[in-house]
Amino acid sequence: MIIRFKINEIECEVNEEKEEMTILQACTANGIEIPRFCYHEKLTIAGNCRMCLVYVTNEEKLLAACGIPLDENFDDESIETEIDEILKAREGVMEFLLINHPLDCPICDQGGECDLQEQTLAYGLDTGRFYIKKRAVEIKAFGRLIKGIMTRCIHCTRCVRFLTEIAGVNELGVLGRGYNMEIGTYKKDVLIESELSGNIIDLCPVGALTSAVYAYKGRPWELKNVKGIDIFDSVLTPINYQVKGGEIFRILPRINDRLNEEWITDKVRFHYESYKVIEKLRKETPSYKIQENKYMELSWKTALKIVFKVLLNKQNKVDVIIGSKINTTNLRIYKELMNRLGSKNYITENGLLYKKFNYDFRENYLNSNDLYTVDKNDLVLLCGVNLRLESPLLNIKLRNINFGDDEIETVKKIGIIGNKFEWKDESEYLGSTVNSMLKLFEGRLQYCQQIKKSKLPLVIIGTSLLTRVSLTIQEIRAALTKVSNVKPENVVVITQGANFGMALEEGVFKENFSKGGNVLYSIDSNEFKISENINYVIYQGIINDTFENKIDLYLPSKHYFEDFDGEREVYINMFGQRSEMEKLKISKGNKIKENSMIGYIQLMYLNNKEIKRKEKEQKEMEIRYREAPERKIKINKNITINNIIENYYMTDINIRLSKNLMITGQNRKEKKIIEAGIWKNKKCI
Amino acid sequence: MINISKIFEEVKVMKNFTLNFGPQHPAAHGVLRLIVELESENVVRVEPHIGLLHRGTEKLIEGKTYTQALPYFDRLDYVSMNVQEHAYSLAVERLYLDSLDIELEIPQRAKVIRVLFSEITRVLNHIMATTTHAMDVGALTPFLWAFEEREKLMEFYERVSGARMHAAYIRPGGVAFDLPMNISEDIYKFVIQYRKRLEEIEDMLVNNRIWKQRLVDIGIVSAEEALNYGFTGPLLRGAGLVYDIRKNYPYDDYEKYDFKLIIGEENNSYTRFIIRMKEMYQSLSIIEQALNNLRPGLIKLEGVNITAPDRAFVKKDMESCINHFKFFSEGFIIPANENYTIVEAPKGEFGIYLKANDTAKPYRCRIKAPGFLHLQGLNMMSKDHLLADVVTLIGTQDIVFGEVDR
Repeated sequence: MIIRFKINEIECEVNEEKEEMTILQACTANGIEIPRFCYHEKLTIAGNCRMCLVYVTNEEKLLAACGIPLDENFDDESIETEIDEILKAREGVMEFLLINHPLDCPICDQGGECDLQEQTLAYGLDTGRFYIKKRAVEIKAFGRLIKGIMTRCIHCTRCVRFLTEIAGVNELGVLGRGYNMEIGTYKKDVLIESELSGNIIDLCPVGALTSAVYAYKGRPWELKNVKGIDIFDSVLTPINYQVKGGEIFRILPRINDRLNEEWITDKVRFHYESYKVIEKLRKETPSYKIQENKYMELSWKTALKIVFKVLLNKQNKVDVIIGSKINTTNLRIYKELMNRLGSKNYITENGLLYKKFNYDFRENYLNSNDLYTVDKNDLVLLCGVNLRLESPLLNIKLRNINFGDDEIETVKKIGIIGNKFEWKDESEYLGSTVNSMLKLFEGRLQYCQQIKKSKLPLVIIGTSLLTRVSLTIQEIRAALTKVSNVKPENVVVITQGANFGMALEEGVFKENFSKGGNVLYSIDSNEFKISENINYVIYQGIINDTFENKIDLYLPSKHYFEDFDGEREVYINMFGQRSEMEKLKISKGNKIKENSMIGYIQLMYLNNKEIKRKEKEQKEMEIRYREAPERKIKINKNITINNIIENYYMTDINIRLSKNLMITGQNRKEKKIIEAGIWKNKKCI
Repeated sequence: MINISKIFEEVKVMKNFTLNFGPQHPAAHGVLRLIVELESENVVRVEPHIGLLHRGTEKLIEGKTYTQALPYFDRLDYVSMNVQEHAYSLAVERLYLDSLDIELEIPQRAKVIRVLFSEITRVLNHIMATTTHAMDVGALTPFLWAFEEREKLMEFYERVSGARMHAAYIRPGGVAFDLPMNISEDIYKFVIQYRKRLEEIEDMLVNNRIWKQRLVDIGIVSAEEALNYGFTGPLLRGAGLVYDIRKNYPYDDYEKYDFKLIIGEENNSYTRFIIRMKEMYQSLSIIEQALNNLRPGLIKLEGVNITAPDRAFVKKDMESCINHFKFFSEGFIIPANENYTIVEAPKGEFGIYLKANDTAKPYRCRIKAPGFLHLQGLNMMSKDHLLADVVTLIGTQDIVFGEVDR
């Protein structure tokens, strides 16, 4: 049914069946600004700030526009947003909000980007009338990452709604009523433990919740935006680095409706402290090991001569392990280099976990379904994956599953195979060994009946399953489609590593890698243990903390965001979508070279002539689902499917070197409560 | 084979003697480079080269908010400071109040203080113009007598704003600070004793045979030529045209003041000298009338975005704290509009063209300085004069390089 109404004497209409709109959404769609504090597009409606009041004809009072739906009762009404009564009402609401607000503007981090400041200028009074004492609230301890100066809070409850609805943890709540209303954790010494907790900093319209890492460091009008990518998982959400004078001051999300909406994880938000630490700790020239802990500085010429001495020696077998941040041009260069030397012993560090991988077919490592339409699925099966550890932003989307209204049958909509974890009351634990997986394929589990009853089931398969069993996704898909009504595009594989998909496109993979080899050539990769037969290590990268002083030759290279020619670089995530990033210069030493330059020089050395740089454009990837060829394999039924990631906060060196994240991560893992001294006195830091 | 006879038959071409009246010269007011082509002692052509004091003022203003751009205007014509601030403040106020359709005027007391200080500035400028002109021509003593009076006037500047010369005192919305105690008495005492000083200087120069011989018949400009070259100020009034912006396009209640315009018949340097001396007497009478008009009241518009809140309220009051923060960090936003504002500067007509887009910084600010146009007419004025008259002409045109070069 089409509903017609007028806004400020402009006629508009809304089709009720296509989209359900409130007055506020209709006004913004028609270009009319209505001020608000508590309304947010991704959260439920609260309606407690009363700033969005509008006048609807023949109503006695002004209505809160964020909560009035446009339905049949609303037909043929006219809405006014700029009459005198509303201007007076806005002034009144602003005045009341500012009565108990402390005069913190000069010391508040939110100054310059504060909703309260901007709306006071536009809709409020020019001087106040309140000269009596203001109420004050204690500073609350929310952890090392978030500062909570709760006197500034205006009780919009956005943070409470975010943590309960989207992050799924009930850590914050509203206590008290009226004058004594406070927002906080009910017990003392309880911190915010969710891995998405940094997003309440973005949501808070005033300076009550601010970033403790960015405190007192800068003002928003001095900072410039540089585009970047979240490189710690394979979803590759876009972010913005805020930079001043070649130094990163903070990290904010870029809005992308399909992938992450407006949220980023804590790991990405606070990891930039590590870059300063790395600048001090790293060596800036090529160095060669003389004794334990003693390194000699070399020039690039001698260093490369040593490299080739080692690589061309026929008695040496070289293992090349490439890090997870390297982009496609570098992957191609190093693959070509090793091919010219006659070996195919290269792999990315994420590929080390797999014994076999059939990378001939793109459907084995890329997905066409990016969980955007997950509200049409009504059943989810998680096999060997804990989405909260592997990719929290996809975990959020699972809350949108159509759980249905069945009150008679207690239908459990989420089935879990692997490490045991709970998803409130709606999950059913099916087993932790490969045996349960096989029973599922053969239809011997009771849960298979649930799958048959549901209309659009979704199966998510993770690395923990694929590394224990040498099945390919094609075969799993084929088995599932035969047994039940799962469609091929609803089997989603979650891989790890930002460049895993790109590396498999280029063919950088070798089966059964861990055997052989006595020389290790590691290109910026830290996340594995050196095997015992290796007696010579060449490390080309930034900094290393896992090899325990076994590096024999160190070649300095640049970070991933300065390692390409031109202005922009494209990475492709596990859904085949492109993410762009811009160049950001941080490294200051003269002798630090880009990975591509080192690679080209090495190729020139072999070829004795100059090589033109070839670059292909990254296009959209097509993924087609084919039938799997039949083969016979042996599977050990009793392997348990354990989590691949032991500690979510230890996966990358950039996180291990950021002090605040490291301590928070340890606390969150061991559930130890407070580091001694800092927050016990609740002093402002 | 070289033809020797041809060499001796070459006719010698006479070229004019070109002299570089260089940028460093005690008689060139500031950095003026003149290339003077002489034929023995007669001037054939004078070509000014400017740009040695160019500081990029207009471009720098484009990157600053309206409040931050105010001190640039002090430094344009650095002998008459408050008049240019007055022009800029008027420009910003008109842009803001017109584009938002607000019918407000600045308070009465602010207007009176602005007129008072504009006229003090006029006296400052005319002292500088006439006595340094006299010094260039050769009369050294009036310079020393008059600059003591200039010091007394700069003391008034300092008492009111804190700085002797570049006082950022007249701001959009009114004036920065209120008058301190006893300043009206002191200004009145100054006015009384200054009339005697002026008489002393006039005694020295007005009926002086040497002075008249150096100045009469030098730099005669007819009315038509003056209009064609864009002269304004005493250069125009000396030719007989009755044009003064304070009378023709009055601003800030100038129509309520009673003063006369000095018009000349023959437009030679002597006439212009007399005009400037007499204008000082008129300025003194305006100062006395302004002192009588002072009434208690506000000194700036309050409750409007273009003025900052009072310091005392910023520390007591939440809304004032927020408005103060936003005023000094982001500035106030003026909707898209453009404006040309003129003011009677002591040297002529000083104009500012301001264009706003919907941001806190001006999109373009073009400054029309009177000295720029006067300098262009130097060539015309110095035809058939001697080299020593060029010095007289630069002085009578009242050139200050801050506004020519910007």
